[in-house]
Amino acid sequence: MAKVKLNTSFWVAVVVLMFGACRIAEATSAPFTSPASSSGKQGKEAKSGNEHPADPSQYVGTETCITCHEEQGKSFDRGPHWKTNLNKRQGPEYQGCESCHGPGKAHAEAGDTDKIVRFGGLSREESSKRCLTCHEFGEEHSNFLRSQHLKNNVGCVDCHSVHSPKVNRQLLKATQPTLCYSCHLEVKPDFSRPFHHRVNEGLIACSNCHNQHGGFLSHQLRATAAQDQVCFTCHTDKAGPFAWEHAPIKTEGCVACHTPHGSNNPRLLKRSNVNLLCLECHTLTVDAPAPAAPSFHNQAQKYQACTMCHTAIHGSNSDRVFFKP
Amino acid sequence: MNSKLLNLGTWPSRLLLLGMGLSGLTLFAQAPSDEPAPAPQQQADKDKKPAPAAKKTDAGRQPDMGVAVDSGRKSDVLSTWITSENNPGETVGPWVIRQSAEFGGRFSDYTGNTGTWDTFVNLGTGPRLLEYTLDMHSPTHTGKFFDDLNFSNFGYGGDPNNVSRIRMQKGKIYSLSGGFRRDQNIFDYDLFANPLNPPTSVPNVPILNSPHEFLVTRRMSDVNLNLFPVSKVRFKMGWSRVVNEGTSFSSDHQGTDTLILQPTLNTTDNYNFGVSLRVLPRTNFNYDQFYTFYKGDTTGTLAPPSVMNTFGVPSFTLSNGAPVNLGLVFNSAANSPCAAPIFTGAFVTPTCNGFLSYDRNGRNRNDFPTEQFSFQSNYFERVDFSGRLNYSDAEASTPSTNELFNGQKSNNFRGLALTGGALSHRISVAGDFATTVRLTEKLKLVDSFRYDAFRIPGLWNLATANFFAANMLTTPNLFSPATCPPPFTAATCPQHAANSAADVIVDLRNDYLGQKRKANTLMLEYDATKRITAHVGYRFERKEITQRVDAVQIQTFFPGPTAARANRGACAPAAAHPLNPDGTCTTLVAVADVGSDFVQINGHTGLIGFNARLRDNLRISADAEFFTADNVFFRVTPRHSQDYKVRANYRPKDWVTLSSAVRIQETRNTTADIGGLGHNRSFAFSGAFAPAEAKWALDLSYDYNDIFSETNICFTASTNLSPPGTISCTASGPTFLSGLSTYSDVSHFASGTLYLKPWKRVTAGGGYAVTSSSGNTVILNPIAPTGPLAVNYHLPTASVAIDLTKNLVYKAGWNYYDYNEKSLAGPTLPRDFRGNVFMVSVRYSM
Repeated sequence: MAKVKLNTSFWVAVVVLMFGACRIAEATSAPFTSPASSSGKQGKEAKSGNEHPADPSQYVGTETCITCHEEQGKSFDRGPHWKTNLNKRQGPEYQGCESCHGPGKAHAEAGDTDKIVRFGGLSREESSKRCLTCHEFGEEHSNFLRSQHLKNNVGCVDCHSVHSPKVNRQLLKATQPTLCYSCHLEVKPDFSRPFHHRVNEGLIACSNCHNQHGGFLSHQLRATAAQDQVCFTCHTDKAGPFAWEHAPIKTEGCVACHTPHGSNNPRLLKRSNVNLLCLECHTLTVDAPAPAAPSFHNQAQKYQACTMCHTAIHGSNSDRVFFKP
Repeated sequence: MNSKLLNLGTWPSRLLLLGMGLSGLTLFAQAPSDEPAPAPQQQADKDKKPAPAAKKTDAGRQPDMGVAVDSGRKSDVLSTWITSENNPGETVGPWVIRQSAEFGGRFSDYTGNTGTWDTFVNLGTGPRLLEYTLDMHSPTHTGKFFDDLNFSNFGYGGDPNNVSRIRMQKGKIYSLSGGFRRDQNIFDYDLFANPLNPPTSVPNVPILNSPHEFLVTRRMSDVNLNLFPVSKVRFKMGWSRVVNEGTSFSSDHQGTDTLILQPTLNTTDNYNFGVSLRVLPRTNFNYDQFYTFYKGDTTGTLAPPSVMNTFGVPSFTLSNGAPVNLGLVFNSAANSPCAAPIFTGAFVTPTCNGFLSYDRNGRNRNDFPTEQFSFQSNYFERVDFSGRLNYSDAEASTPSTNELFNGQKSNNFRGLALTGGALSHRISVAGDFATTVRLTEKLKLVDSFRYDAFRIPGLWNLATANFFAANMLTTPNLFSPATCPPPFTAATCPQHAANSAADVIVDLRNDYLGQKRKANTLMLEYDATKRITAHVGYRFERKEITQRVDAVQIQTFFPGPTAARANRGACAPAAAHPLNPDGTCTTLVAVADVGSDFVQINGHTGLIGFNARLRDNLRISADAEFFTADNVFFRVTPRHSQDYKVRANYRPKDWVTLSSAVRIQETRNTTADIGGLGHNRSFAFSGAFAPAEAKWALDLSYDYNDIFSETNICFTASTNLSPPGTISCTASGPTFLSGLSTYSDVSHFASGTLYLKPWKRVTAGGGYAVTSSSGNTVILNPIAPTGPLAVNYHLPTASVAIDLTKNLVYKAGWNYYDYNEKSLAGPTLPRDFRGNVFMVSVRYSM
């Protein structure tokens, strides 16, 4: 493979150009003002997203909204958000339609769509912040504003629809994994490979392993309660701890040997021949602590399948060469 | 055909029958029928001005885009008019109840390899409850115990995957969710762990199934309860269970490798309880306790002759009539299972390696108590942050491991009895802190820090008694001063060979594996406009890995058939190891792998990204990571890598969505000894076409994936079989040969699904997905096939749903599975298969 070496100055130039392009785009793009951010206090609210003016006189209540927005009122009532109406302790800014769309008095009086917060006019961060006003609390959503999704301009409204969800549960726009595949195109084929996790079959979902709302781990992965790899949630017998650990499993993770989504290779292994997978580490070398395969392991004979003898490869409580569990 | 579950006749007649059935029903569906009577609520709606959302409801009548080739599993992905969501339902008390149930049958028929079919598809014939949904909703929110209840399931009646889910809630009092999933997991891909016995071996015994075949059912259940979900103090509690149960096979190495039958059972229970507090504005504190308890009750025993027969190994006996298991490896050129003669007449030579019996058990009991404190706040206007601190101290206990081997291997080894126990811990501390500081309206500083440390001290104390006799026809003698007095030459003494192992080994071992990892990611994010943002960042991480082994063995050697035989192995020479008064010799032996390793790895990652919603219908995002490290622990972990991701999504029309995704990962570890190089490049494109008023929708996708890696390896192989050009990679002689382990997997994936709604009451779909791979890898053994690396896997599908009445839908579906490996089968059975799965069902909704 041809290697292309890019020096530091190239990358500095890339960064400068990128930010320069942003500045140009900023200067030349049409003003993208949300109705609520056009002026005054509401504009600030929309920018910060999660602020709600507390003046009760600006709020009209859900009953007023649904006199015009009947369909939206029905869907609101059908979904989980209706229970915000029960949240009497925090005032009208946390109740009903106006908990998301802001105070509606001006809009109700004038019928002017610019007088109410409409999600279509907000940036993804702004609209997401409005959702997070309530949903941020709890570990599931607490890192959404730092998530890979939002960093790539994917906000709450890209996956959820409060008023016309396809899936009532979680108000999703589509079921998993279809929803995830709509962006993660390169992942979809993995689940049609001969060996794959049963995602298309509906047994498990992308969100069983990944926290789509972000998190502290890379790839937005979840973890076990004890902060071990998410794989051990189902593959519990591999979690250990073992008296004698196969170290890479704990230090590098299951992905050191397996491709988790799908593979042509049995057991989702990274190699079709198990012996090559083993030999790539267990080889005479000065660079790594893994012991080399001994001289009597003739690869042309029965030793081509290392796991025929080293069956307890994920860890053992009775054998230091993993011959038995 | 290995198995013919249902004879559906010849291919053309099957299709004809299916076509006739579908056509007849389609004609029926075209006939005028009564419009569904509007529900009271719908009647009221008619008098009112249509709301803006009404159009969207109509759009919901379009066929849904789905996942191609899914229909063989669940009921199918075709949406019809008649669904529980669109039905008016029935009002019972305070609830509106909607239900749907889909009953039907599945008919499967395949030819080819049963093991591979079961591994990949595993859909059989029989009646099925394909789906059931129940939705209870109280529009007035006045349900006594709940306002909403949703229940759904699918796959019952014999499908390998069954799923049930339930969710209930009552206002601000509680929300409850639960689920059950069952996965019948069959694995029998015959190349896996197959010794690939050469056809030239005498005897020639091809192994027909994977020695690591399994038939295990995993059942996963969970219940989660949230109390007072909108209050300032919330409680959550939950329980989940994972049970793996069934039969699996493994192998055991005692001179030869044989098949072990493992009745498999392990159970894991997880409990959690937590409280969330909102005592400060815009701030949340959570405290959670988790407890996980794992029970491993899997045992192992020698596979009986009848099971060995199914794997292709004939039954063998000794001259005394006792059955003997010679294992799975038959390679006479490599003296497996033993040097010739393996047979003496019709019987196994009693000095050959073999198993007469084998048993092992060792129950694990592991518990993982964990506690966690987490918080999140956006109390301050320009700063928000979240964090988590997690501590766990897991203990894994195997108090009693037992292993009994009765058989024969080299140096008169005639059996062993092992007993002992093991205890290990995993103590982990993980802390995370992430904050976002809004420097200006457009500029943000995001910092994320993670500290993650674990240590796993483990110990075991095992005692092994080894037994020796000349062959399998002879009972080994136990050593006792009474039966084996000086000069230790009696026939009742243990019959050691000159190189026999110790008679008693006490193995004391302390192992330690620990890792500390600190990582900090600093990111500068710039929002140029509401539509264009960019970020640049830097991540530093330090990993410190410690591995330590402290081990010692106390070995005792018994005399017999001569006194000098006690001074063998670690007790030789005699001058350095005086015998005990009873003629035995005891010595302390240092274990070879004692020592410690400490590896520190410093990694640096540059991050850069850009995303833009240039227009409402065009979104582009791109980001890249550039990683470099000064060391590795795992030899094939890259020291340098680049990861580029670009995604674009364009909707030129409301009904057209074009998407593309490119991901390129380049890795390398150019250290001279390793020479690692690799890449994983994926280019994916998709188009979804669903005109609002049209009666069709089309979903197309294509992906090109190129995976490659190469790494220097050093291995032993018979000289005449090693790859050309290999040279010795060690100064110690020609035993080890150097080579390049290469692996490539170039795959094309294409799928297309066409959904049609030719008439209001008819929805039809047809699709095709194909994965075509043409990979390659270095083959060290010439008789090993390329196997799964070069395959074509075709998955066409077709389905139709016809709304017969206002509540009744007829559905029919067909899936075809065609798995073809492009290489030779190798010394086992070919793994290809072709199969049809037909499904007919009726869905009733109310």
